[in-house]
Amino acid sequence: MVFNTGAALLDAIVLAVVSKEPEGTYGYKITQDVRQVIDLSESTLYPVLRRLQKDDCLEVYDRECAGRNRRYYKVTSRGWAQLQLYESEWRSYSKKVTSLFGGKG
Amino acid sequence: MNKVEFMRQLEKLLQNISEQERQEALQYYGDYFDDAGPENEQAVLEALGNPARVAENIRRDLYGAGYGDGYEARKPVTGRELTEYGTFVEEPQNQGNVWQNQAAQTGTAQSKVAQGATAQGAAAQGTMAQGTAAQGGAVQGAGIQGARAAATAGPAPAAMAAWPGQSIPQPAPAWGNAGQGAQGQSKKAGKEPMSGGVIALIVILCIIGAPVGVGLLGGAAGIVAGILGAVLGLAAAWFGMILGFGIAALVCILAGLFVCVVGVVGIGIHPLAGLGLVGGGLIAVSIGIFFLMATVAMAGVATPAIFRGIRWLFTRKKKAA
Repeated sequence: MVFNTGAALLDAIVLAVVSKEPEGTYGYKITQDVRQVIDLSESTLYPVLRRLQKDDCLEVYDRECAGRNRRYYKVTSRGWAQLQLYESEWRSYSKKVTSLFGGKG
Repeated sequence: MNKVEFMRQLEKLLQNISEQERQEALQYYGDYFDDAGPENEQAVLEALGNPARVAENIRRDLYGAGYGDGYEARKPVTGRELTEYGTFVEEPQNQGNVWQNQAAQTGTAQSKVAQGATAQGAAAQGTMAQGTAAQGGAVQGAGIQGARAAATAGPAPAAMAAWPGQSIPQPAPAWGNAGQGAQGQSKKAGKEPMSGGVIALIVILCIIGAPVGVGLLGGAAGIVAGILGAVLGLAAAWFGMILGFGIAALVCILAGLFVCVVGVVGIGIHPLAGLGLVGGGLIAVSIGIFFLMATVAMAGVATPAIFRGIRWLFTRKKKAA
């Protein structure tokens, strides 16, 4: 991929990935899902999750799983609002770029 | 290196952040290993790379630089640094002065790096670093592609330094071979033939003065036509120049003859001035003749030769193909 993924786009992608799971999802799975979309080093995701959590876009809870506590991440209402903002921003941005490129795709 | 050791080193490296932040991070990476499963432990270790790097990513975020720093601060690619997510952090030899170390290492590495250093660095890498190096390579590839316009891509430090605990004396960062950025080869348009000569001629014309002023205008028209022609193509410029020369020749000769006639008539009235006029007129005529010759030479001799040359070029190309 020749294009850089900026912080805002990365936030948006992570929020979108987490939002797919109504019950919440966990770090390892989020990493795998994000990596389906963009090339991401494995140690990059934690700071992103931590930041989103501090910004009240994600909330965490622990759930018992195979004899241990696994940390789950879930999108908050504020996170949903943020995601919607990102989505509309992305739509307008990508539309402009696409139309510049000749409207294909 | 296994999971337990990784976690222990990470904990040690995170001593200087708050207890809560440390526990959060350790919880996350502990989960990460558990969810990947024991069968993937080695793969995860390789993907995460050096614990120092992981710790650095966490600390960087906490201390306000933000992960955004690693993403968005795109330094000019001419520098020998590649800032990318998964920022490469050199192994701090002494935990206290991470930043200084980093700066120093970057500095020395830059001056010391030779072509052969790649192999040396590769040898210094532990097995764990291989995954990282490969990953670095991928990221670096993207960087190069992005930097194509800048032509010089900064080599990225592909090798992570030695692991703490292991006693590798001097972690030599190996610079990945950046390859060569695409070098835009812009072929310059060929120089206009004879333009220097034309300018010189015009200067001479100016010195000689009034009678040839019109000729000068003709020449200037030729140059303007030549410039316009250069935009359309060298051929047009060439013909524009021929045309300009032709006009200059015509005007010079006519003006010269006219001045001569005036001079001859004027000898009766004022002999000296009349002779001067005749002389000036003759000079103008001679310049006009020179232009005429140049025009004939360009139109009649050089142009066919150029066409022959172009044809020769094309047939040669065909042969080569």
